[in-house]
Amino acid sequence: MQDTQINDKLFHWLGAQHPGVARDRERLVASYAQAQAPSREHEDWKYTDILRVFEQDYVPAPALALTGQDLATLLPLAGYAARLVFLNGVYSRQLSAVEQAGIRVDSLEDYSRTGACGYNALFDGTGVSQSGKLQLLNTIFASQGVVVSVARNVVVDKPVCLVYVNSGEGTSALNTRNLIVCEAFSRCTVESFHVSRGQNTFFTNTVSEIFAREGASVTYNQLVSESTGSTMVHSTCVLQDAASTFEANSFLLDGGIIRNNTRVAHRGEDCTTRLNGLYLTTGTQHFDTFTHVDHEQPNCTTSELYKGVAADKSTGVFAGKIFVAPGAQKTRANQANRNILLSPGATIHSKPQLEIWADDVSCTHGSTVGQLNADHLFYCQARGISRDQAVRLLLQAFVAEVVDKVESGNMKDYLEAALPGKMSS
Amino acid sequence: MLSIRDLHANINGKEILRGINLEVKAGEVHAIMGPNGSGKSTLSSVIAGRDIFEVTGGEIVFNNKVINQMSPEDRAREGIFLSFQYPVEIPGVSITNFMKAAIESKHKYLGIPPLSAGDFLKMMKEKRKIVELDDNLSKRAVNEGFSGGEKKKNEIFQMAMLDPKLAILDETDSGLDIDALRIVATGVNKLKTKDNAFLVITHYQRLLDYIVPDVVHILYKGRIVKSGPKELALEMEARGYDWIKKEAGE
Repeated sequence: MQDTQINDKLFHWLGAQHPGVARDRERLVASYAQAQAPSREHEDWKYTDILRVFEQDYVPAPALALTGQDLATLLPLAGYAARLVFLNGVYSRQLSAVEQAGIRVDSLEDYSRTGACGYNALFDGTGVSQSGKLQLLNTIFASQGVVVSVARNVVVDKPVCLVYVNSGEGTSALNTRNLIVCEAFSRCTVESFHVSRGQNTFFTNTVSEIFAREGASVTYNQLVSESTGSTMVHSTCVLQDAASTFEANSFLLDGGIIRNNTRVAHRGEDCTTRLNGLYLTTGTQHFDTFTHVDHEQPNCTTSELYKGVAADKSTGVFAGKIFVAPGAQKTRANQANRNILLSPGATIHSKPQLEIWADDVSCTHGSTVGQLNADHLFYCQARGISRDQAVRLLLQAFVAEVVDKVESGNMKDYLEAALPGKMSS
Repeated sequence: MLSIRDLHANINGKEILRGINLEVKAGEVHAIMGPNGSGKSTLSSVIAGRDIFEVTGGEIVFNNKVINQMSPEDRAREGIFLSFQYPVEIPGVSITNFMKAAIESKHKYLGIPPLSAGDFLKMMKEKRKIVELDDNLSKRAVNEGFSGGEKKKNEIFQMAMLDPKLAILDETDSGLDIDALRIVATGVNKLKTKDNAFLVITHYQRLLDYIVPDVVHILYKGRIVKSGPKELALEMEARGYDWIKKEAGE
């Protein structure tokens, strides 16, 4: 398969920027040519139209120079085991630092050039490239990113912070790729922040692969507060070995179009998976949360709680699937999606799904879409609390259930500072 | 203090209040009794400003201001308190934060300097005692998982915090056992002064053994059909509501 048989602009523009680090490029390109486009005819993309990213014209993102002080002002981090910074999609060695033993960080370039940390076989080891055309594209042209590995038995007390700052004019495409490997019985929290400095109209296509080895415990907290002109597809693909725990808490606070994919597969028994998230949309924002958990082994547990608040003419989407394979007995899974519509023009699509092929399981799911409770509002007003403040109070209470899932750290600090302002109606 | 003149109110086009007249002065306790569906709870909601009811005629004057058009929050800040028949549970909002928001709103409206955090907590502690509200309950979300008695105690606690001029107790006795009833009623009596007034809405007379009214009104089909001294409540208890219906010509 030749690149010339592919005709979308995005593919060729990315190819011109960087050849990528993937070793079996030909096979991947052949798959790409065959892959179904993420159009709304594709069941997984039913509610989100992203096709224009393949056909628009791109220019290279301007070089972004930030000082440590600029960064601290933009995103204060109280403490971290490692801070890994990307400026307009380019890994900044200068602003990045590792402060704890037992964690190794390599840039993707170093990794691919030298095979530095011995994880070559793990690149695309989660099979993320098979989950969709954009993930495949990311895999082919991956060049910027980090490989983080936490050694066996190491407990990382402070979070590993991934910081993405985007800023500048012109429409560019950023294609970053991370690999996080938590070896057996290690424990680590990753905090990923996507923030804009001013406006940008970038298309960001990010993939993170995460391996939680036997007995490891990995928490992955994600926050997106991007400019309203931006488009972002973020895909997290997780492989869990036996008795591991993976928890993801995602907070989609600002952006233009955001699609957040989380896929988890269990490769051993007794895995625990907790997926939680919040999406808050205003204006014409469109945030789509897509989760897929493969219960391939017995005795594993998944719980999901996603909440959404949609105002104005915005759209929130939740589609979550839990697949229980034949033989995955004693699976316990529950999935809850709760949404509030704040205005008649706002839209929520909710699609919780269970697909069960084993007979001795306990699985539940539920979904609600509603307005703020009028009785609650009146009760507050009857105590002298203004309607606007009552709305804020009730929304804060609504989202608190998800925010409370996050343990103290930079992410929690950020949320507690940012959310009250997001709650005004 | 409260003066209601020929008040008419609808819900979904159906007339519930059909010409209410009521005068309540400072220092007075008025009881409003009546059979189910007579409009008792509607009257309390309309005074508090609930917008699902449409006032189609008449006036509500509170402290010399016509409040028909006033928002519920401003009525509360002016000094009207409604103790709900069914207090709602608000998951995620602690009583402390809820009361803090309420007190801050009132102070801002009235131009009173805000309370310090210390003074606020001291006040919470004092007022909790009035209704023997458990310290642990105030850390919990508003009414969430409370028993019927705890919910009503919490209403009176909030009343004590907000120190209203006019308190409307809407069926505060419903769902209360005798111990809880006594605690709630004792709390109310402690809060009674010559400067405030109470409107006690109840289906049964038993609450009025504890909160003794100056005037009893009988509400029937959206009108006050009879008013009298506190003995009227006993008569209602003894004779039931049928004779009222007969007197009303049914």
